[in-house]
Amino acid sequence: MTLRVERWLKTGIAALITIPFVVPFLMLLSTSFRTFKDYIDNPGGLPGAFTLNNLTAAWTGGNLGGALISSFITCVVACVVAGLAALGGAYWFRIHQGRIVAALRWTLVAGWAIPTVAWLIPVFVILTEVGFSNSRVVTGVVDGVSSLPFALYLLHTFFRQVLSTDILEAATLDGATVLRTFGQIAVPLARPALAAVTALVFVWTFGDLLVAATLLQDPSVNTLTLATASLATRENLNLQEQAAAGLVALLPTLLVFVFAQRALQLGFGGGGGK
Amino acid sequence: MRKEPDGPARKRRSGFSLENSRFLDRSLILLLPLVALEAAVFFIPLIYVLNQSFYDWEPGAVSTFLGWENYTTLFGESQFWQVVSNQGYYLLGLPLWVLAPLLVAYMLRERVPYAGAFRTIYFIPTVMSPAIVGLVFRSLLQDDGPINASLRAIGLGFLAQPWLTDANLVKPVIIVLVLWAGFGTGVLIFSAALSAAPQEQFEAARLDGAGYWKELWYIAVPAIRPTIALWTLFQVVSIFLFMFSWVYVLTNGGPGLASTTMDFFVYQTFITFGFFGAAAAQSVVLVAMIVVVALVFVAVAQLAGFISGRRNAAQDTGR
Amino acid sequence: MFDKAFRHRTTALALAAAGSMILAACGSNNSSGSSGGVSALLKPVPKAKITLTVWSFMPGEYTKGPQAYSAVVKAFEAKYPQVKINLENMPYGPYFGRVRDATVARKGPDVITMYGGAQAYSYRHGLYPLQNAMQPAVKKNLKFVADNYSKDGNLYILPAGTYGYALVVNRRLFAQAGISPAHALSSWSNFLGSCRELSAKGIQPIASGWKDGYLFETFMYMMSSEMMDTATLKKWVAGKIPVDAPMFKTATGYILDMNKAGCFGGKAALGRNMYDDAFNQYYAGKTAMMVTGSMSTAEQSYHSVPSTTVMRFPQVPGSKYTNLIDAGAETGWGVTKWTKYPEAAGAFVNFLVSPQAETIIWKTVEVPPNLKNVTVKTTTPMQKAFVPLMENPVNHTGFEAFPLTVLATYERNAAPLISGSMSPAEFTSQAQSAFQQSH
Repeated sequence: MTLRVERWLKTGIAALITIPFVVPFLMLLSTSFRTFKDYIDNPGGLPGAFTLNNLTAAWTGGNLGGALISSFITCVVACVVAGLAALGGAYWFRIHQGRIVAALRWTLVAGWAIPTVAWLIPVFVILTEVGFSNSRVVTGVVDGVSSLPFALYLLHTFFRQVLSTDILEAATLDGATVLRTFGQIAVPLARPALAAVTALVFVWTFGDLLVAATLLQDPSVNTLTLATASLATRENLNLQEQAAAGLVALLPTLLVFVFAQRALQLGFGGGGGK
Repeated sequence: MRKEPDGPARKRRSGFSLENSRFLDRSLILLLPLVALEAAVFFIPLIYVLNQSFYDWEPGAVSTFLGWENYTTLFGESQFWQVVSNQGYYLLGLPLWVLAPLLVAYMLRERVPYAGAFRTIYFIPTVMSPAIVGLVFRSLLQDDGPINASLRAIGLGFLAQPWLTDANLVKPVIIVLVLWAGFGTGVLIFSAALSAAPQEQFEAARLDGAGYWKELWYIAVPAIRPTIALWTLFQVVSIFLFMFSWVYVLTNGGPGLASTTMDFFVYQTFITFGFFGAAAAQSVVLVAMIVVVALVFVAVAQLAGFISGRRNAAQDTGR
Repeated sequence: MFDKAFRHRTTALALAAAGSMILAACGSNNSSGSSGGVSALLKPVPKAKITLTVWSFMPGEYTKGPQAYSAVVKAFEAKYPQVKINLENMPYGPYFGRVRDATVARKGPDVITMYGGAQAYSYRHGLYPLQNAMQPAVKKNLKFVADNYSKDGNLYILPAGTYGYALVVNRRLFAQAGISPAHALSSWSNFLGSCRELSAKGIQPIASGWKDGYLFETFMYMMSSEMMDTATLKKWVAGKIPVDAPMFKTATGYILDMNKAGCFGGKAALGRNMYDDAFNQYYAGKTAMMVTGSMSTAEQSYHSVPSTTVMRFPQVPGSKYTNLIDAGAETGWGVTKWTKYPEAAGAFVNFLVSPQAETIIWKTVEVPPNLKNVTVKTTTPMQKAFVPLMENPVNHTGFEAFPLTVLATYERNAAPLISGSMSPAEFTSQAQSAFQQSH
């Protein structure tokens, strides 16, 4: 196959693949900006009448401004918790070997195997007992911990590939303590993978409903995802306002993605050319 | 890269060695937050739930001890086995969820203009919250929804199906939706891994006359083995734990029990019905199922050399 | 190495074990909330200043809902100045999950919105029985009490407001088809006949969606209520009638008959949900009828389709009545067992079902009171058509007594049943297994 044919074929296939991704997004846009009457006349069809009412109603009715702030708090806390704890742990597992160490590491990764509703209920009970209900920071911590096993696995894999024994040995030769090596060598090297972890944890925490609904019961601290779900009542699904709120949610997560694009390219590659 | 010889760790001149490192030194402080957080959030609650699974757990009343009864009742329910078989069916999606992004990432590696733009578009699902995605697809997949309408408009009306209410179609549809949701992330991850792999081997293979597919199978895939393993493990866990929002929004487990997953089953028993003891037992069984499946996966992956066990540890850049 | 690792792991295990024992102790320390507290619900409210937390999704149900309920709260606070009511307008979606969490934690609101019967039964360990906590005036005048008992003989909520299932009718579409609605709904056979006629003229008779299964439940309630006399209803509420009883099988058959007569418009209904798709069908003027239970939906229908009126669903052949509709309380209010202020909570739930509160709610959001000593003045066309149907004294409902597991089974099996991929026998048998699951 000539190069030109290959180019056209590949580009064509890539373009075709975009269709199933663009169409649902257009559907979301259309549902957000159609009037109610236009929507019920032809739910699946092309939009007829444009309105900003859904957006304004969702924004005020769902207090989306405050919800964005709440989401920001929980997501940042989650990223910090998951990032730091996984970073330290991944490094510790990198510099320790042995069957018991590996078993401990796999156990910690296996924390992921526990269904959320099973650990969430006891955690909720304890937090309520000690008075930490409706705390966005605590919710962020719990969200961060729920992603911790994945972050650990990812960062450890990264360290395995990037922190060669030579580097570690050289640091020891220089007289550095473990903590010094961690701070001055491992952490800077880990930046790409850490950025990747941060991006994923941010997106997952942002889209989480179950943890937020359980730990945050006061509507004034709703995250954006929770606020969106709250727009539905017993009888009225309120699809249009939910769609409008979904559009609002796209903005912060899109920003994170732009950051993630770059970071993931660096992060998963194993840290720069060798 | 220097290849380390097989065998036990050589004692280095500096005295630095990974095999004989002490556990209880100051480096423990790096491990402590991780262990403490996971213990507090995952493992202590799990032990508590495990304990409660042997009772008729009734908060606010007397919880009678039941021994194994919650488990025997569970294993005797045909509903439970139907859900287990659903999980097995969903596992069939694994090759699709791994191969599709892998192939497309490899395709985008070269000779595609604006590859970055394509990857961005594929990533749209990840920045849409799962609940919203579910609502959008609920509308799209209705009998008189846009997908069927388009099929009918272009004369493919016989392909228009009741996507979410036909027991034979609902699981394949959900498998495709899960692919849709994870595709962009997979493409991004594999693209990054491919671009960070040493490029000389690709050129060498091409000079040797290797074709497109040979290059993929013999050069690209081995180069990014750990990444493939990571992604696959992630998907395996997702089948058991991250299907909830799809099922909840799209089908509520139906038609019949055709789309019900274990995590949805557990949620319904816990929250909707309040059968706490039964739900606790279900949670424990679910954890066991995931551990078994993951162990099988890890064993297979180690055998295939996809992740390093002790045998091929030497192939890592560090040990 | 063995020693240190061993010690390390043992310490960890010890910590974990200690933690779990603490948790278990917290969990099993739960024989509090004895029924001695019930008598406190009728005692005078102490003078000390307190804040009562109330959870409800009701204010969110109506456009003017928040106004209605804050007016009720204000009226109560005027009577009891020492009590501040913190009414949390909770979203409906996560509501019951949060109540479930609160019953596990034994902490949370003092008063909650809760449906009676089987739903309240599911939360019974967190709720006070209220049958002996009704103030005399309430006890004398409250309607729909008997229907809201749970099968253990306790009344866990005080019923409030009235709903009633009826049909909103698009008179213009009927006229277009040349059919008189009154004739169409005059008997069961006429009803099925009109479904056939409307379908033949290209008009979908009833707004429909089977995927979420709620429409099936609605018809089940409507039809079984018609087929239950008072004695049967009492047995059903007490949990003594299984869901594979002939009455329920017959009702399933009637629904399938309606389907065969084309009442639901064909296969497209399988892929739709009742919420919102079916409603939207009627609002868009695409169907001749829709089932609704609430006045506000009727008003919304009237607003979207000006030729709307409300009419009674016909009696099924097995009905024991001539003009009964499935009607009962719109909602209910319970007092949680962990409340620190039982006197105030008791006073508040009694107030919520008092003439003063229910009249405020009627005037603001058009929910008719469920009180024998209150008659309301109907003003709008929908009220004039709907309220008389709701206020028929023979009305009752058995809907509260359907166990949650049975409802979940109905919901996921409705589409397979209607599509024909599940036989009625299999449908009933699965419902019955679910019935036996609820201890």
